[in-house]
Amino acid sequence: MAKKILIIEDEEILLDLLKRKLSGMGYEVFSAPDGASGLEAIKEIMPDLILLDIILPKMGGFEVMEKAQNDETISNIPIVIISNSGQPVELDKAKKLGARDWLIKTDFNPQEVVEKVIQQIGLAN
Amino acid sequence: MCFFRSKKGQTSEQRKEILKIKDDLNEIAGYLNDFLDFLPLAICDLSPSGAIMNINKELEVLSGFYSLDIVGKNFSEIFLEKARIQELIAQARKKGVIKSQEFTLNSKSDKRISVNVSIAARRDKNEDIIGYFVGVIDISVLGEIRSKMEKELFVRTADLEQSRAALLNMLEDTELARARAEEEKKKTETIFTNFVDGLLVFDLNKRLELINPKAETLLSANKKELIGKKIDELSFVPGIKMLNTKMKGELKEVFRQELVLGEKLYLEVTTNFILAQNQKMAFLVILHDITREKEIEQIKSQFVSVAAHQLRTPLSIIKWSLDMVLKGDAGKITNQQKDFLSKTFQTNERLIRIINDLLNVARIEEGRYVYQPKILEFNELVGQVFDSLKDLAKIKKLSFKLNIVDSSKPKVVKVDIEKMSLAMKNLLENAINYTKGGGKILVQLERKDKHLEFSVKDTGVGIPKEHQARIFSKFFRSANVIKMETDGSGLGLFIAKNVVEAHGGKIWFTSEENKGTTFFFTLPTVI
Repeated sequence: MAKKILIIEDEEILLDLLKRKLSGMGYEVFSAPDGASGLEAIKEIMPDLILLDIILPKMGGFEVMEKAQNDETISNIPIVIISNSGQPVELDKAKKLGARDWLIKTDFNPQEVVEKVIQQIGLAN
Repeated sequence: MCFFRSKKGQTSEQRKEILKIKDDLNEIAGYLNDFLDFLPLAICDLSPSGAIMNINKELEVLSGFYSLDIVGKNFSEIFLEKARIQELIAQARKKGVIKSQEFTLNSKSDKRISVNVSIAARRDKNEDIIGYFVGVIDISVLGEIRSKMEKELFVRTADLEQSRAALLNMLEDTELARARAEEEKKKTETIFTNFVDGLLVFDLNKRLELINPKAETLLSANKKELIGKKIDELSFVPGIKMLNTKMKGELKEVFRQELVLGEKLYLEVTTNFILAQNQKMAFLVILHDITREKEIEQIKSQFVSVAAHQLRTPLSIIKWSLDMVLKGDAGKITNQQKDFLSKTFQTNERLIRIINDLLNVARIEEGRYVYQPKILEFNELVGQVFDSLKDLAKIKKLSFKLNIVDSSKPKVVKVDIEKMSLAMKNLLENAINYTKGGGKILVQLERKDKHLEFSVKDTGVGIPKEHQARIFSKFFRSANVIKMETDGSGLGLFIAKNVVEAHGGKIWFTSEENKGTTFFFTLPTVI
C-alpha cells in the first residue's frame, strides 16, 4: 500500500501542483482547503505525513498543530510546514509544537518538496 | 689727663699751696680718668676745629681704633655721614648742646654701627669755643632688634593678611560648594523623580533608601510602605520578589533581565552598584518598561507574517508552475520555449530575493534592537551560521574553516538568535564574496576572560586605507568591491555593528589591501 500524504493548503494552484508531483511519485495524496476540515481529515485518513500551511481559513496551521498534539491518536504523525511566512519566532513555535521541518515555498521548488518528503517518510512504497 | 702744670716765679708759700692743689687736682683728674674709662659710654673731646683730642676705652672698643690711631684726626672721619657730622658740630657751636642724633659709625674693621651722637660745646670765660664733648651710644643692637621686629611684624602682617584672605576665600568656596552641592542635589533629585525609568536605590544592607514615582507606578506599590525595608521584606511586591529571585537573594548586578508582571506589563531590569572611589556605596535598580516594545514586536510579527504570505504566495505559484513546465512535468517543450521560460523563472527568482530582503525585519530596523534575547552556547549558533555558508564557499573554491578555541570552555551568551545570526552571516558572506577563488577564510571563536571574541579572517581584496574609517557607515561601499559584485546593499557591516553593539559588544577590523581583512567582535559572556 502506498504511503498517504495529506496536504492542508488553501491555494488551489499550489495544491494542484504538489498533488501532481507527489502522485507522480506514487504517494496517495489527500487534501483539505482549510484548517478545520484538515484536522477532521487527519483523524479520518490517518496519513503518514502532513504537509501543512500556516495561514489558512477557518483554523490556522498553529492551531491545527496544537490540537493534533493534544490528540494521542494523531500526535505522532509527522508534520512538515509549507508556508511563505517563516520568521524565527514562528519557526521556534512550530518546532515546539512538533513540526519536523519548515519549507518556505518561494525558497523551494516542487522537486525539493518531494525530496523533503522522502527524507521524512521514505519512498511511496 | 693732666689739668695743671707748675709755673716759674711763684713764692714758696704759693708753691706749697699750688703743689697741694696740684696734687688734689691730679687726684681728681685720675679719678675722672678712671671714671670715664669705667663709664659704659663712649666719649671723646674734640678741638674747636673738630679734631679728636681724647677718646675713652669704650669708644676704642666700639670703633676698633686706638687713641693713637685717631687722635688728631677729624671726628667726621670715623662716620659715614661726614658732612652731617660737620653740620652737627656747627650746630653745637650755635646751640650749645645737641642730643641723640643718629649716625653710622664706620669702624676700623669697616663694620657699620648705628650710633646716637650727643654733642656739647665747651666755652671759656669769654664764651669762646674751646672744644666739644661728644658721647657716642651704640644703638645697633636696638636697630637690629627694631629692624628684626619690623621684619617680623611685616612677615606676621603679611601672614595674617594671607590667612585672612584665605579664610575669606575658604568661606566663599564653602559657600559656593554648598550652593553647588545644593544645586547638584536638586538636579539629581529632579532627574531621579522625573526619570522615565523606574529607579530604586538600596543601601548595602539591602534596605530600600529611595524609589522614584515611575518605579512606584510600575511596581503598583506605595513608597511609604517600602522605604527602609529590606529587599526580603518587600516580597509582597511581586516585581521586587521576582527581582530578588533573579538575583538569588543577594545584591547582584544583572543586565536587561525580563520581568513579566501580568499580561500587559513587561519590565526589563538592570542593576548596578553605585561606586565612589571604587568603593561600593549603594545599589541601583533600573526598571525599564518594555511593554510597548513587546506589543510592537507582536504587531510587527503579525504584519510580516501576513505580508510575506500575501507577497510570496503568487510568487511561489509562478515559481512552481514554471519549474514543473521547465522540467517537462506538463509535457515536452521546445528549446525556444524553454529559453523564454528559464529567463522568466530567473526574473521571478530575483523578485523573490527582493521580497525576502524587504521582509527581513532585522534589516528594516537595522539590527538596533534586541527583542528576544536567549541564553545559549554560542558555539552552536556559530556552527549553524558557518554550515549555512559552506556551500557558497565551496562554489567559490575557497578554503573555509571553523576553529573553536578550547571548545570545552563554556561560551554562554545572551543573544537574539535572529539578529546575531544575521550579523555573523553578513561578516562571513562579505569574506566569501570579496575573496578570490583559492583564497582562505578562517572563522574563529575564543573565550577571553569575560567575553567571547569572534573573528573572520580572509585573504581577500582588503579595505583600502582611505575607506577604512567609513566602512561601518550606512550604505557605504568601498570602490574596489563595487567593481567586483554589484549586488551589495552597503548595509551588511552597518547592521553587524548595530547588532554587536546592541548586545554590549565591540566590533573592529584589521585590513590590508590585496592581502586580506580580519573582522573581530566581542560579546559579554553570561557564565
